[in-house]
Order: sequence, then C-alpha cells, then structure tokens
Amino acid sequence: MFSGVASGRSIPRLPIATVGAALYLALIPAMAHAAIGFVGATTGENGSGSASLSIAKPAGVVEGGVMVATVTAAGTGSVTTPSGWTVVKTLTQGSLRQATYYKVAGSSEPASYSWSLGSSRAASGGIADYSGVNQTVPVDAIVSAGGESGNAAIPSATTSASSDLVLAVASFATGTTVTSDPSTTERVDVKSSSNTSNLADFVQATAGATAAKTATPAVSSSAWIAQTIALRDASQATLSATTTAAPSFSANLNSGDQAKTFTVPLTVSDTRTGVGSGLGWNTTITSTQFSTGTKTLPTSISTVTAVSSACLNGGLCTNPTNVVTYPLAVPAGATAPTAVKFYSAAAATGKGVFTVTPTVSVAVPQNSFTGTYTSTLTISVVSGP
Amino acid sequence: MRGILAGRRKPLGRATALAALAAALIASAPTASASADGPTFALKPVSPTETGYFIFKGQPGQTVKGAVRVLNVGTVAGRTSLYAVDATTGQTSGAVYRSRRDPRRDVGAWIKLSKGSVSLAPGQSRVVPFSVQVPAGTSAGQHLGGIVAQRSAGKSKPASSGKEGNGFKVRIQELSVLAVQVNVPGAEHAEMDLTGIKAGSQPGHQSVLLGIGNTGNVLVKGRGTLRIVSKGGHVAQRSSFGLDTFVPSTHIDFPVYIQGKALTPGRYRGTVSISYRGHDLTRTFPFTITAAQTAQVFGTQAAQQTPIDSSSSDQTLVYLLAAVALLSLGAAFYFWRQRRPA
Repeated sequence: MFSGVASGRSIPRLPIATVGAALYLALIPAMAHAAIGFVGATTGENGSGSASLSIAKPAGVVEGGVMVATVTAAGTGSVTTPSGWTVVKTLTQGSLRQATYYKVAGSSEPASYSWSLGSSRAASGGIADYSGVNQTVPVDAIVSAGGESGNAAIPSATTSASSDLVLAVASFATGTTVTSDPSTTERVDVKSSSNTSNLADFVQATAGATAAKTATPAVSSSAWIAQTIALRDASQATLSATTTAAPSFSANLNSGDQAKTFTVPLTVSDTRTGVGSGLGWNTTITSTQFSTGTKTLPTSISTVTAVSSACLNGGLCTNPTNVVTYPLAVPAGATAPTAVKFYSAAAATGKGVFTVTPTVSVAVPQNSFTGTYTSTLTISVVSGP
Repeated sequence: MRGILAGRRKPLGRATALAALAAALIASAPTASASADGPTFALKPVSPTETGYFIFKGQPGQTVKGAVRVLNVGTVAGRTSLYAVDATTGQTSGAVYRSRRDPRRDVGAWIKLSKGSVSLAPGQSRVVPFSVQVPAGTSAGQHLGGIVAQRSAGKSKPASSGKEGNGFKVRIQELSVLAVQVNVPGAEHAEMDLTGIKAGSQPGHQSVLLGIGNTGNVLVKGRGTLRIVSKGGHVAQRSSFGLDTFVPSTHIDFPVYIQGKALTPGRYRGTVSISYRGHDLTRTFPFTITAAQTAQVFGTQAAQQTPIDSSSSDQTLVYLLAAVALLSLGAAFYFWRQRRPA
C-alpha cells in the first residue's frame, strides 16, 4: 500500500566511494526536487449497476494532499461531479464514459465520495492520493485516446516541469482484469459487471514528452478510453516566463512606409502555492532600437497592438484579468530604456500555465538604409506590486 | 524608392525575376522561428510571503536579511546572473524595474546578494541569502527595488537567421524579477501631481501625454479622466484611464490615446482628474496640436528619417555589375574555347 514513488531512493549496501559521492551530492547547496509521494488508494464499483458510485476516502489523506479519481460508467450519459472535486477530463467512446477528477484535501474530508450517474448504470472507479503535488495548479498536462478494441494505448504527454508524476488512466467497456504497463506502478484496478477502471503512475524526471504506455486487459474485445495526466511537483512551484521565439521579417519599402507585425509567444507559468498563490503577476517590455550597427531606425516605431492569452494546462487555469490597454508604445533606445507593463494578471487571477502572445507592430519608414536591422526585446515577468 | 530591397532592381530574366519575387514574398512574411529550449530561471522568497514578494520594515541605518530561492524550471542546465535594481514607474504607470546598467540609488543599492550568479541543472534550486542595508538618513515611506535573474549571455537564445542584407531580427531576453519593498517607518503621505498636457508622437496612434507624478512617499494606484475641449468650446475627447502602481518620487508622461475622430491641429484645453487613496485632484492645461505633430503621427515619416544610404545601394549595384561582368567574361571565354580549332 505504501510502496510510494520515492521509495526507490533507498540505497542498500553501496561501496564507500558511492556513499561518499552521495553524501557530497546531498551536502552541496543546490537542491534537487522533492518528489511527489503516493499515499494510498481506494476503489469502488456498483456491481451490475445503480444510480451512483461510492468510493471511500483513501487511508492517510491529510490536508493539502491531492486526490485523483477515475470513474468509468456504462453508457455515455454524464456523471455528476461531487462537491469539491474538479473535472480533469470526461470522455466517451462507444458506450463507455470515463471521467477523471482531482481534489485538494481540506482539513476535514468525508469518509467517502459519491458520483451520481443519473440512472442505474454499472460503474467502477478509484481514488489515488498523493503528497507533494502542487495544490494551486495540480495538473501539468493532459492527453487522451480511445479505441474500439485491443489494449489501451496510453498516449505520450508533454510535461512542462521537472519531476512530474504521470498517471496512466485506462477504462474498458468490459468487466475484466487489467495489467498495467510494466514501467508503471499500478494503484487502481477494479471492475464492475460491465466495465473496468485502471490507474497506474510513473515519474517523469525532466520536462518533456513522456513515454507512451499500454494497459492490457484480459479481455481485449471492448472499447477503451485512456488519459495521461501529469501532476505537478509542489517543489517546482514558481512564477516564470520563457519563450523560444526569435522573430524575423523583411520589408519591401519600394511602396512606402511598411507596417510589419510579429508575435512573441511566451509561456507564463504561475504555479505558486500557499500564501503566495493567486497574487497576480506583471510582464514588462523594453527594447533596443532597430539598428544595423551603424544606422538606426527611430525609437518610436514599435507598438504592442494586442496581447492574447491561452491556458496550456488542459483548461485548468484561472485566466488572467489584464488591465493594460493597447496600443502600447514599446520603449526603445540605443540602450533599452525604462520598461512598460504590457500584460498583467490581477490578484487571484493568472493561475496556471499560459501562452501570452503580444503582437508587435513595427512602422518601418520608407526611406531607411539598406541593411539587416536587429533589436533586443527585454521581457520581464515580475512578482511585485 | 530606395527601400531595403532596392539593390535588386537590376533587369532580370523572367524566370529569375519570378523566383526573386517569390523569394521576396516569402522573406517579407514575418516569422517567429523557435530555437532550442534553454534554462529558465525563476525566483521566489524562501519563506512564503503574503504578497509573493519581499516587504521589509527597515529603520535608517538598519540591516535586514532575507533569502531568495533561485530555480531552473527549464529543460537544460544553465547559469543565471543575479543582481539588484531600483524600481520606477513605467510610462503607462505600473512599477517597473530598471536595467542592470542604470545607477542604483535606492533599494537596488541597499541589497547585497551573497552570490552574483548561480549554475543549476533542470529542476534544481539554490537559496541565495541577501541583506538590505537601509542607509542612515533614509526618508520615511515605501521604497521599491527588485532582485533580477538574468540568463547569462553565453546561454541566450540566438535570433533566427533572417535573409542577410534586407531583414529585421528580434532577439528576446527574458528576466525574472522579484520585488523587494522596504518600508521605512515615519509619516506616510500619498500625494500626486499633474504637471501638464502635450501631444504624443507614436506613429499611427494619436495620443496626448499627461504629466503625472507621485510626490508622496507611498505606492499609489488610482483612476483618472481626461476631457479635451477645442478652442471653440467643442468637447473633442472624453477618456477614462486606470493608474497602476505609482512609485514614490517618480514622474511620467502618461499616454492617453485619442478615440474616434483625431484632433486636428489647433489649440485645446484638457482637464485631467485623478483619484487615488481617497484623494481627488483636478487640473486644466492648455495645449496645442501642430500640423507637424499630426503629420508625424499620420503622415509620412520623411521628416524624421535619416538620409538615404546611397553608398550601400551603390555598393550592391557595383557588386551585381561585377558579377554580371565576370559571368560574361566566363561565357565569352567558354565560347572562344569551343570555336577554337583543335
């Protein structure tokens, strides 16, 4: 039951040199992450069917822990979310519904949770409880897949943070036993008369694409649904911004002044937890004026005309409330002058991972010198008043 | 007509011309090519704070201590510089943070970080202690600065390779800033000032600039309105605006963009009203929109352009002519060899 994710770190009988090296690594100031830990799991099923599915609270749940539930129900009808739970994703395939949820445990939790099925339907499900999960933005990534028969192909997800715990969730439209992928640790495997729920997990140490997994049912002739849900490590909670953009453009000036635009998609992540969560953030911009090295363009030619924002972590964001108005002149000079705020998230907003994309218009004067012009945009993400 | 592509205007064969046109069209499309992922650094207080940033209470002459956690939340290892800066008010209001090169006179000068740079693997973090030494004689009120994490230059992402000779490239530099506010005990007073109105000059967007200052000693936010009346008494503009965090002892020319019909050249009176921390302030200022200013915003920018770099265009032409001459010589030599009796 308590074969937690972190348990594999114990070091039995190692040579002295190895122990010394381990001690050295443990003592250097740079800290590696703290892992998400498995606390416990429970399952529930309602036999040949009833109007609800009850699943007990796992043992060991404490305030701040994150519970993840998977529910599989016969038929495609909806499933009512219990109070306090948040839907991660709900899907149908053939005559099967799969829904996943999370809940950050409060100081007092009931002994069990009930999912209303609307009518008498066979259902199965389970709850897995984890410690060390980011309570503000628990989910880093979600992807799903489905099929009419065969094994459940649990798809690759792309995580954005280090040391995620990845859940491989599978549902089958038959009551069977399921073998989780051998590279995962099975936490839930339960069946009703006509469907099966399976949940396993594995650690994704570094951000990037997870390996695809397979859940293998004993009876493989039924429809299946799979979800990959990456849980975010609380120790990685922070406010950050990054971009891979390196915009470039050309302008034909033979027909007069040119208004060219480019975008700078930024990934802004506000996953701060505890008292520091939901405080909002600001982004600021400044620039060096376009220059060939010897010739420069005017300092007033760049303007932010719009900024868009989109949630990246499966829609599980609190969208930013932005008060900046546009157009907004981008400061420019031989050295970058004082910045201006170009997008902000008011307090209690902007929680999650977003693509924030400013569109910058550049009014290139007709009578400019020939040459290759460069400019450096300095973009800051700020936690401050 | 001597634009960036001017060097191409040599007579060309049809196929060559079509290819050049296609290339030019492709080149003129803005792109935002991606470069490899790099380290991404973030900062957070070691001990959680109710604001998400540092707020210290510091008497003049006192030194207070703090610690910041530096994280690499990117996908590869890297090194980040750490430094402290002063805050000021951005032109559109809101607290912004000065650059590393700017002189530090306030909180940025008071912060002493125990490390100036940190190297971290992905997912790693490191605690960097720092002290804030409030100078003797510091005035009462709220002082603002910040700690900045800036990826070391050697690891910065390169701009994409545009078409040499006729392109625009934009390099992006990312900073992470964690504010440090120092409250020096004493009488606090919130006071704003309005100092005037003048025409803005941003191409394509007519605006007026409102002179607004924070002459008090605390951070303030507020709201405001602007009403512009022409010399004939016609109300030409009504606008409302928000004022984001205004840092004490700072002054900005706050832009208000003209909505609807543009202001024609002439004399106007603008009445500005701002509300902040329970205070209201209203002032009326005369201002003038000149024909030159209107042309600068809406017309050609010839007036502010630098002269044409004829030498550059001429050089390109010379190179082209030289290339054609070389090709012609080569072709002539080839045909001469072909016709030469064995």
